[in-house]
Amino acid sequence: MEREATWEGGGSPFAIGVKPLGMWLFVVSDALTFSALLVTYTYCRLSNPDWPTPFHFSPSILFSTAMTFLLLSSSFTMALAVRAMKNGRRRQTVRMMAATIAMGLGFVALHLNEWFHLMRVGNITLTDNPWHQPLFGATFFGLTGLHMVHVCAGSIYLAIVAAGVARGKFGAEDVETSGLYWHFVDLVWMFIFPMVYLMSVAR
Amino acid sequence: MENPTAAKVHAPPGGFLRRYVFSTDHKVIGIQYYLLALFSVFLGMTLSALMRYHLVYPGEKQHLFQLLWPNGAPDGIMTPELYLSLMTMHGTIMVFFVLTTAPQSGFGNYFLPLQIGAPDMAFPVLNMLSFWTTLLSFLVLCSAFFADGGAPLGGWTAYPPLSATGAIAGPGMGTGMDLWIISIALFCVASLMGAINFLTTVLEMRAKGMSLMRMPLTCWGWFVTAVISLFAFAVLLTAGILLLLDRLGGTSFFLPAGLVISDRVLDHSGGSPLLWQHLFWFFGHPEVYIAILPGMGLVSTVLSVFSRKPVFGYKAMAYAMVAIGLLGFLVWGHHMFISGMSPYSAIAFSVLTLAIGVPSAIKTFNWLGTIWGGQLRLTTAMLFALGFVSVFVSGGLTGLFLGQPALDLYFHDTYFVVGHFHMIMGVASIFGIFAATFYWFPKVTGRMMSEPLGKIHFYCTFLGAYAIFIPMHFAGIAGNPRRYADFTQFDFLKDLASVHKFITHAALFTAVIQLLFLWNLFWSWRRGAKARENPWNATTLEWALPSPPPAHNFGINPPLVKRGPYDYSLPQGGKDFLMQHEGEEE
Amino acid sequence: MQPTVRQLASVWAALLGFTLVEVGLAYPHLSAALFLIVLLALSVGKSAMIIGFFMHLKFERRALSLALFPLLIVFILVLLALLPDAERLREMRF
Ligand code: HEM
Ligand SMILES: [Cu+2]
Repeated sequence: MEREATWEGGGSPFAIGVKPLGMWLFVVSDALTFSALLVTYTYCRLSNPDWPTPFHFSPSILFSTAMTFLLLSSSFTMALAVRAMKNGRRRQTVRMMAATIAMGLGFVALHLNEWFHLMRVGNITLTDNPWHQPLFGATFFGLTGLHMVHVCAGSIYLAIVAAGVARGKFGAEDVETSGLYWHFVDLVWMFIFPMVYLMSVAR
Repeated sequence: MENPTAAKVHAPPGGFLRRYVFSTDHKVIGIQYYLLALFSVFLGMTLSALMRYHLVYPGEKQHLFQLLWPNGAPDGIMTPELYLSLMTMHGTIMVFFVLTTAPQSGFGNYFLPLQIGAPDMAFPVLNMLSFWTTLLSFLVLCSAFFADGGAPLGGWTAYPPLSATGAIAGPGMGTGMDLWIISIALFCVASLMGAINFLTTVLEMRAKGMSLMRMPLTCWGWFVTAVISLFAFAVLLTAGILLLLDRLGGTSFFLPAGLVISDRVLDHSGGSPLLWQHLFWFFGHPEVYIAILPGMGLVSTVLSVFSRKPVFGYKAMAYAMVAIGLLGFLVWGHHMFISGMSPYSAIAFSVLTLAIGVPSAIKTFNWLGTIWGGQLRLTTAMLFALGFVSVFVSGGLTGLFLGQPALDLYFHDTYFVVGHFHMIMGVASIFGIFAATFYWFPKVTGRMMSEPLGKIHFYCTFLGAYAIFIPMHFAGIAGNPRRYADFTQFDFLKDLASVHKFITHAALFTAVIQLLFLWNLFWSWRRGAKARENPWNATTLEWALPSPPPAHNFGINPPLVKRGPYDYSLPQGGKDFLMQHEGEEE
Repeated sequence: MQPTVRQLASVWAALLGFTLVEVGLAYPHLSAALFLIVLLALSVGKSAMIIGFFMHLKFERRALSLALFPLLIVFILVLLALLPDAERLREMRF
């Protein structure tokens, strides 16, 4: 369904509605917020020699790889949900979104589990750790924490949209818009996972 | 997909609350922003008057100080801490709640949809939310005055380590500083929501025929400003979160090892105050363009309307704004020349800073080209627009000095800087706001503001601004440091006492004159002469609507735009202009 | 135009595969700089797939990509100007 509008006014030059465009703009802005945080992390790491590399294959890397798989799969089901809604299949949409939310919550659960493990067993907290490199914990919990906030917010957001779809209140564009957000959260993790976990694999 | 332009037409909302308080009408929200900025500017100005008084009469007891700040001025004499807290609040209020709020969120909200022929902003509810978040942010900031220890002392730049270490860094650096950061974080969120709204509106809601190159330059100004906001506030948000983590979570992002503050050794290590400076100024320099670009767009329009000539070099003007917006992100290091930053970066930042002179000069020459040979009508709006050009040049020239590391080594943190940024950012943007107020008042209220009062106000403010801020440059050249509560104790500054007295008197005079504006505004709102639909014979779409415009703007039939925004001095007899929707397709 | 289920599924599989490659690369002990560059390159590739297919940018008008990404990329690169200072800091500290 191409719309005719161009840059001459009277419609969208991109042939997309205002809601997806607004979400795209949010995504771009939030991407810079995360970029600034990742640059901060790099800055801290570069300026402090002997940065700790405590993550062992088991459990840390296994865990975080599983989390990565979960997020990627949730993105896949979300893409299917958007597709289903475009084809007018409401029930399938709701089911796919439910699966997405479930995997998102699974991600959060695994993540929190990992956090508590690090704090209790590894003695790595926001402010201190066995290597007396306070910024290690600060950057780790800062980055993953902000990301987790995004996942949680996304789960709530998707739940609202899914409920709306079930009751026939929301349309394809709303599902598409929420999908953009969810994929973005997934995308951010594609940078956090290698930079935070893999770069700290124990040697 | 619904068609964005045709879909939403407001039903006129019922009830006072829905209509004027929790309104989603962009026009009401624009006025709300404007009133917030108006309140803020008078608050900020009052604070500056108290500061100026203290600077020249540091030892004199004032009962008022004692009344207002029993702890900050125990025996009626302002403590240095109180001075610094007033300075911080003054700077923060002025930068965020005046210069960022009025030109972009205030006027932009009201006039962007009208000028592009849209029924409203793209996201009316989001629009309302951004206003209320801004207001909340303002209230949180002001609550710092009443917090334990009072308002923060960190300046509007809140440099760590002192801003990151909590109450031991001084009164106001505890709760007050926390509130400051929370306020700024909220402001970031509000501005991001606003930016998304503005951008979507410009990209998708233009009426048929309103191509980008037919948009009034005001719209270009708001558009580029929204792009800047989208990126700049994103980074400030990160910085704010990290600073808050340092304070509340005990992290050390901005705190190096071995700090001793108030005789206590701090238990932090690994961080760097430079990191904050980088993140802050990555936002901070673009912020000055957020303040000035909407004014640039407006001044272009006003100069053209009251010279009855098309804007000289419309395309160059639009591209220059884009160039300024982009370059604005590449120069932040000029605030850090003597911070210990890598000297190689300093060279790059210096070259790029001077490069901004090019688009700025293009704009200035094109403004002159616009009025050259025109039939000038010196209305108050026009006078303020001319004043804008004047202070923009005066302030811009000193920037060329500050942009060179060798010179900035000396000028940094002196009154030369205070003079510079007040000229180019403070006074220029404020003149833009004044020009916009006089120019658009008839459209908003259906009445004219008083021209005689306006002219008196303009001439006094114009002279007053120069009288305040030019001498500051000389004080700076003489080595007068900035952010000092009392210079009278230093021998080498003794000779400047009379200069400072002069500045203070000029400041008090200018402050009092602003009451004239306030009077003019509110009196004309009720009693001003009735305005016609298009009193200035302007060409842009907002003037095609009745004054004030109806709730639904153009309704479901937006005008078909047929020409560019500045068709003046046409040869045919009688009418010397064509509005954008009039005549034959160009 | 929208991606087919088949396309989406292969993108999903590819993303999982890339992730495994990344994890695998963590163990041959490349030099830190090289490892980082390789990881970032893989991440950019994965992002491109997510953006192109899941966010179906590939199926939108080109103008949208041109409006959204060039500035973002420039600003991310500009932020890297912070890093020389981090190097300096390390030298000043020790
Ligand atoms: C009546 C007009 C004004 C007067 C007399 C005035 C006076 C002052 C003074 C005395 C300072 C402190 C300088 C120091 O000790 O370093 C200051 C700082 C400042 N002013 Fe103004 N000001 C005025 C208007 C404005 C406006 C319109 C703005 C809007 C941009 C503004 C923005 C600032 C900023 C950003 C600072 C720096 C605060 C800081 O260092 O954190 N001022 N002003
Ligand atoms: Cu600057």
